[in-house]
Formats: sequence, structure tokens, C-alpha cells
Amino acid sequence: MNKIISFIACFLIVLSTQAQTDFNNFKTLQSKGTIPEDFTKSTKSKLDEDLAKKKTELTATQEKILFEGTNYAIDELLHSGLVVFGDEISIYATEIVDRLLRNDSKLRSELRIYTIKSNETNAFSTDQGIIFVTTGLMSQITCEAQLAFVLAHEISHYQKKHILETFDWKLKNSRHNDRIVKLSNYSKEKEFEADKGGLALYSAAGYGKEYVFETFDVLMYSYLPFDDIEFPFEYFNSSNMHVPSSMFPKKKYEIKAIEDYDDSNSSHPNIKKRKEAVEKEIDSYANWENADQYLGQLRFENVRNVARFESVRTNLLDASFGSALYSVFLLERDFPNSAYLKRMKAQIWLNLMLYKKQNKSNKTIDNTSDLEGESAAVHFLLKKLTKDGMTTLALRQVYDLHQQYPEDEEISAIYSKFVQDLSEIKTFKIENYSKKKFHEAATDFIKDKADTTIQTQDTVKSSSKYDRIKKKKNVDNAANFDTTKFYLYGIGDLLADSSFIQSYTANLEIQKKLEEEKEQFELLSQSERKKINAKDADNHLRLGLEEIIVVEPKVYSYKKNSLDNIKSEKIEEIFSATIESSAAELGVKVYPIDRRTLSTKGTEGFNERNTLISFLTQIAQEDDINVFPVDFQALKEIRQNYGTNRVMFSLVEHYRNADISWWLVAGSVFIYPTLPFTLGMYIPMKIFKSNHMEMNVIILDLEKGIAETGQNYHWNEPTYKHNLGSHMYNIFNALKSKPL
Amino acid sequence: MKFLFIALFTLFFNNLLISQNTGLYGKRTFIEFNTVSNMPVFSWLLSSSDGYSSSGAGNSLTLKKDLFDYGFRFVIGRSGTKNAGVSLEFGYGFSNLSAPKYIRKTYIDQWGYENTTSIDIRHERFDVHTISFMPKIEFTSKGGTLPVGLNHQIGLGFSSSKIIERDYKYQILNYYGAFTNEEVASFSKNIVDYEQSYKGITILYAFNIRTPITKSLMINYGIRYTLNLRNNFVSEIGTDQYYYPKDAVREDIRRSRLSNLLSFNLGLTYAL
Repeated sequence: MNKIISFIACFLIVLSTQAQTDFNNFKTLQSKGTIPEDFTKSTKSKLDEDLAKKKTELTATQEKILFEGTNYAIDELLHSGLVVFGDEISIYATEIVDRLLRNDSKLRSELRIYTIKSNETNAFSTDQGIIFVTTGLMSQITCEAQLAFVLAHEISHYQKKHILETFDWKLKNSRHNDRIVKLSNYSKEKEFEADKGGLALYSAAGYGKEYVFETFDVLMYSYLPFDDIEFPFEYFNSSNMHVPSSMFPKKKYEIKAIEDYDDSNSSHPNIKKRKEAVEKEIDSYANWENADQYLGQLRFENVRNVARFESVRTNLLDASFGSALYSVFLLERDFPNSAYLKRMKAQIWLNLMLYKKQNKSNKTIDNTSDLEGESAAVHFLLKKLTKDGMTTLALRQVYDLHQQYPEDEEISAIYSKFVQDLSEIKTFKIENYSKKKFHEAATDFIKDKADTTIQTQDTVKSSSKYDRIKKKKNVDNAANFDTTKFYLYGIGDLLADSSFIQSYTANLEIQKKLEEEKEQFELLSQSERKKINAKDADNHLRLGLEEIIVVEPKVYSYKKNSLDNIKSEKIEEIFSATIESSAAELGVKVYPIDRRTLSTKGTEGFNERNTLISFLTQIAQEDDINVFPVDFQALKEIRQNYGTNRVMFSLVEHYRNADISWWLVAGSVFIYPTLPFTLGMYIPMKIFKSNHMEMNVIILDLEKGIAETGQNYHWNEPTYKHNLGSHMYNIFNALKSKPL
Repeated sequence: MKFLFIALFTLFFNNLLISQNTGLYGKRTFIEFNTVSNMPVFSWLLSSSDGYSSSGAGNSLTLKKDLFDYGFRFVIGRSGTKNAGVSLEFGYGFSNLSAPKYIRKTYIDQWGYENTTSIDIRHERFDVHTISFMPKIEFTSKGGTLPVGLNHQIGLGFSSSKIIERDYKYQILNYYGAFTNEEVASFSKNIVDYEQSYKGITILYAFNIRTPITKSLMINYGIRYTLNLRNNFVSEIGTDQYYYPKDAVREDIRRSRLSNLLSFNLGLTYAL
């Protein structure tokens, strides 16, 4: 019976890991399974464990510096909101590591593999035995063997303790003048060693040698999108919109990467040198097998697609909308009906419009000098579009998606936000748009051109100056047709859509009202304006708050210009507790999402925390742009789970600096009558003010997708429990108050 | 994460520093008990604080500087906003005063004329008690949360000092040039007027830190700068029957208190 149960359990596990992802309803990578200790243990306890093991030949002080640095840096990453565990990619990579180390169970037992949501093509290992793989790397590779070589390389780094060796090298070579060059050379040596060691594992695992060289190609071209396919100029064309080919580049942009680039200051040798070194090494291994995969092609493609879908979300979070759009185009070829891609596309266009509205779209599109490969066409077009052109094309795309998926809540929300923001664009006037379609206008233009030749002098004479001006301004006048203003002929059907017009006009009215209020405010006397401003400021934190999700605070306590990690972590713990107790005292219900409680909250809590941090990251991109939350669905789930829309993030920074001017002190010794003042007043006052604490609190509204309010303070105070607690009490007290 | 926050606050809320709430866990009224101490450094510089102190058993007196004055302060206050508040301070201070180095002695000479002569004397310092009352304004720089944290205080107060009556030790230079305490018992009562109170005005500037140690209790510590002025300038020379005239006492008290320009305070604050 037990055997049957174990068989069923194994079967289910295999089934779950090999299940195909539903890309039509794709959800961003989430951690799965039991939360590993790496995420639940405090950093201090990890540090203490490392120090207790006495793993190196370094002195106790040196070990403390090394392990403190590495443990805190890794934990910062683990809790950055970017790392996931137990997901499709991590499991896939873990199984490859299983194969690579099938003959070394001891080493295997020391390693854990996690995924970082990043479009950088990278993998790295830590001296604690964690190997990180980025979604960017997974999205770029073309077979399992390539990932196997990368992982084998990282295992080799770990096995040979390269982090420790490099630390030791830095200690011994801290005074060299040409330290950077020497460090670069040293680092390159370690990379060659890791390639060599990795090759041994890779070969023993039965993967084919040719894929090693392909891996280097992957790395060389990894700065490009995950594929390089010609972007069709008619991509945005529909029965209503026509983007002329003149909006696209007339030439192809060459790919500039070369194998033999200058690596003199790089940590890694250039691709040519690495290939040559591996080439020499390859022959030392006999019995090469030829496999490019052991886990199955379908599985590989599934995992890679997960990474590629993830790359669209990452591009959106990074505000790289040009790249996001090209990635969507690439993925749509295989997943034309993916609702996820449609949602992402709607988000991209909304964001493009929002950034263009604030004249910030250049940040979101590649520079002309950076254009390479087929994706250049998308960046070129987006760069060439005027504000009106971008707005109209974006409106067209979002409107069409909304028409196509009227039941989709996310697309509907994007569309509503689009129309609302559209009403704030003063240059967008619906009366400027033609009811004709592009081709109709073009045909009329050609016809009109032919008619002009037989136009008589009488026609000109019969019309007045004003008629002629009006005619020149009329977009429907065939003679005014201009292909660069193709967008004027792209929303004729929207002008006839009463629902769109109604919604747009209603938003326009709200805008008008706001502007009138603003104008009236300007007309008030200075004292009246001051009064209103004071009231607004007083209302700033008054939200009538009853409950809130609180993500654990972050504390940075500095000691002599460097971060005191241990003290910071300790204060974080205290601060976290004081937030909860202060809120409780005021009857504000707090739902903590805290890294310290992850062992009880588990994976669900961890995923929620990641989602909230991503939202914060997204909001922080720009001050004057209210972006649409990329994880709309996940945020909605959080809202529903907790029954509140509000989330609090907080940050405290503390340092001590008396900032005494010793020149002034020395000066007053010479001008001795001032000495009593210096000794009795200046120095004590400086010492009293030497504590500097900065506290920032920000409240996000998950429903509106905005930073609702925030407060920043500076106090000359230490970060003791009740200093923090008292301030948090006051903040909660304000948040709890109803607006005046 | 840090940069994220910095970016957010620079972007969104840089100008919004006004807070509606203040106090220690919302408590804005406070009572405070302080000990105040000072080393009268200015007196040392001027050597005016040199005086005789009792040393050991018997009547031996040694010349010493006034090393340490102290007092207690009881304060009740309330913060009105996060940046400003008011308080009332009641103080009781202990200091001492160097006694005169000689006394005037009046006698009738052989021709029947009244004469005055000086006799060198070594007299133990006089203990001076001062009670004070001072309304204060407390304020902080932008972003403070009174009464918690660093604050500045400005006050204008009234004080009343008195010399404490007790058996002071003294010695008088006798005919043989030696100090003795044998023959002056008769004038000891009249050396100074113990009933007289000496009033003054005090101007205070202080900076102080209150650090919470519980939800209601704070430790407070700081530095006080006081300028003590007398408010009675009427001279009483000539009408004074005391060997140590009131006017001289008043002037010495003023000088002594002025020398306490800088003092340190340490105490507890309880927030209500």
C-alpha cells in the first residue's frame, strides 16, 4: 500500500513539474512549495552559523568582514522581491544540477537554486551555496545543455571557493597602484578555472561539446532581445489604422557585438579567449556524448517560454516599453490568443502614452545609437512618433483590445485609465481627427491632386480669405492629407462610438472643473491660499484608516560611513514590532507581511511580499506618472485576501555625525575670548545634535495603483524602540483621523 | 530598496513635512523632574569663588574653590504643536557664597569717638538657597515632535535667594597674628542678615534632549545657559547694621549666580 502511495506521490510531483503552463492566462512566476530556510532565517543567525563553522584560513576579523558582507548582500537580494523559489525555472535548473552532480551527493546537498526575475543574462553562485539563475538567461538559451554549462561553471566557482580566494587576494593586494587591472586579470583567471571545472562536470553529465560554444554565443548576444525576427511594418495596421512604412527605418541596423572585444578592465575574459581556452580543454575529456537535453524538449520550451513571458513583465517594470513591445510581438507568433500578452500590450501602450504625455518617452525606448538588429524597427517607430501620433496610436491599440476583450477586467481598467489620462492631454482634440480612414483620405488626395490641375481662377475668386483658411485647417479636406499625420485618419470609428465619446467627455468635464478650481485658487488672496494649503497639508495623512497591510520596514544604520548591517537588522526587528504595537494601541488593524514571519506565513506570504515590492518599484520609476500596476491581478488577490487597499512601506536611516569644525575650535583657541562660547555652546550643541534619523513612510493604494500619501522626517534622535514607536504612533494617529 | 525610498520621497513628498500629531505616543502634557548641576568655571577664572570650607573635624577651615553647585527643577508643560510648547519651571537650588575676608568692627576710642576698624576673618562659605519660577517656551526645528527629542527652551524667570542660617565655622586674626575662634562669638549673629531675601531675574536658553525609555517615561538631559540679573538696585550701604552688608551680599549672590552661566541638567520626564 505504501508503495502505491509513494508511486502516486512521485507521479503527481513529476506531473506538476512537467505540466504545461497555461500561457493564455499566464501569471508571473510565483514561488511554490515549502519556503526554504534561506528566506526565513535572520541574516544574523546565518552569519553566526558561518562564523561558528570557521570555514576558512582567514583571521576571525577577516572572516567576519567576508561573511557579514556576503550574507547581508545575499539576503538583500533574496528579499528584494525579485527572487523566487520552487518555480518552473528553479526546478528545471535544480534538475540539471542534480544531473551534473549525480556522482557527488555531498556537493549536491550543499547547493540551492533560485531564480531572479531580471532580463540580464546572468547566473552566479555564492559561497553559501546558492546558485541564482536569471529569467533573462533562461529566455535566451536554445537548449538545456547551454544552461547545464552555465550551471556547471557556477558550481565550479563554488567548489573552488572563488569568492573566498578573491576576497583574500583583495586583502593582500589592497595597496597596488594598478589594482583594478590586476583584479581584472585575477578575476579572469578564476573565470577560466570555472570554465575548466565546469567543463568537467558538464562532460561527465553527458552533454554534447558543441553546445558549450553555443553558450558563449548566447552570452555574446544576450544584450539583444531573446529573438531577432523581422518586425513587419504592417504590424499596427488594421481596417481602421494605417501606419505608413515611411514611419519605419529604411535600413537594417547591424548587430555590432564581436567576440574579441577589449576585456582589459572586465571581470570576465572576452568570448574569443573563453572559446579558445575551452577548445584546448575539450580534448582532454574522452567519451563525449552528444546530448543537448535530458529533461525533454517540450519541458525546455515550456520553461523558456515562461522566462520569455516573464521578460515582458520585467520590461514593463523597468519602463523599457520599446523592448516590451518587441517581446510581445515575438511571443504573439506562438501565442496569438494569449490574454496575458494582450493585457501586457494594453499596459505597454498606456504607459507609452503616459510617458509621452510627460515628454519622458525617450527613457523608455532605446537610443538611436543603441539600435541593433530587427527590434530597432519598433524603437525607431516609437521614437519618430509625435505626441499626438503616439497618443492616437496608443488609443487605437488599447481601444481595439478593449473591443476584442470587453469582459477582461484588466483591459477594461487600462482602457478606463487611458480615457481618463487622455482627457488631460490638451493637444488631443477630437475635432482635429478625420472621420475618413487613411486609405480613403489618400484616395481623395490623389483625386484632388488631379482636380487641382483643372481648377479655374473663378473657384479661387468665389471663396473668401476666411473660407480658404478654414479649408486649409480642415482635416477632411483632401488637399490637406499628410502621411506623417497618418494618425488623424486612424480613429474615425471611435468618433462615432457614443460610449467612447461619452466617457471621454465626462472625463474632460472633470478636468475642466479641476482647472476652474485651480484658476479660482489663483485668484484668492495670499492669506486665503495659505489657509487652504495649510488645510491640505493637515489633511495630507488623514485617511480615516482602519486597517492596512504593512510590509516590514527597512533600516540602514551607518557606522563611520559604512552600513552597520547587524545593528540595522536589530533595529528593523524593533521597528517592526513597534509599528504593530503602535497601530494596535490606536485600534488600527495591521496585517504584517514581514520577512521575519515568513516561516509561519509561508510561501503565500512571500509571494505577496514580492508582488507588493514590485508595485513599489514600479511606482518609484517616475513622480508625475501614475502607472498602471503591472501585477494588476495579483494585487487584486491581495486586496481581496486582506480586505484593504492600503499598504505601508517604511524606511529608517540613522547615522551619528557631530560635524564639529575643528578649524573653528582651533581658531577660537587663538582668539581666546571666544573659547568659552566654543567649548560651552558650540561643541555641546554639535554633540547633542549628532544623531541623525531619517524616517520615510509611504502608503500605497492598491486599487488606484498610486502612492496615496507619505511622510518624511528628520530627527536628531537615536533609533531606540520608543523613539521609533512614538513616531509611528503619531503617524498612525494621523492616518486614522478623518479628513477635515 | 533604500534608493527606491529616496527616489519616492524626493519625487512625491519632499515639501510635505507638516504633521498633525505630536507627543510621546500622543501624550503631550508632561511633568519633569531635573537635577541641575554646574561647575562655576567663571568664578574660578576670576578667583572670586575662593572661600573657606570646613575640613575634617574641629574648626579647621581650608581655602577652596566652589567646585559644584546643584539644584532641582520641577517642570510642568504641554506641547501645543509638534514644534512648539510651553512649560512652567519651579526650581530649588543650592549654592554657596564666599564670606568676606574681613569684618568691620565699630568701637569707641579713648576719646569717646566711634571708630571702625577691619579685622581679618576666615569664615566658612555661606549656604545659599534659591527658589525660582520660570515660564518657558519650548520649540524644535522643523519636523520635531515635542516633547520627544531635541528641543530648545527660552525662559524668563524670577528667583529669590536666601542665606541659610546655621552654625558656620569661622576664625579671627588675633592680636598675635594667628587665626582663632575664641573671642568673636559676640558678633557672629550679626555678620549677615539671614532673613533677607535677594530677588533676581533669570533669562534662560537651554537645549535639551528627551529620550523615551517607556511609553510614558523619558530621560532628559541638556545644557542650560542662564543669565542672572538682580532686580533690586537700591543701595543699603550705611544703613546696614551687619558686618557683611546686604548690598554686598546681593552683589555677591548676583555674581555667584552669574558665574553659573552654564549648567547641566539630567532628569526624568513623565508624559501624561
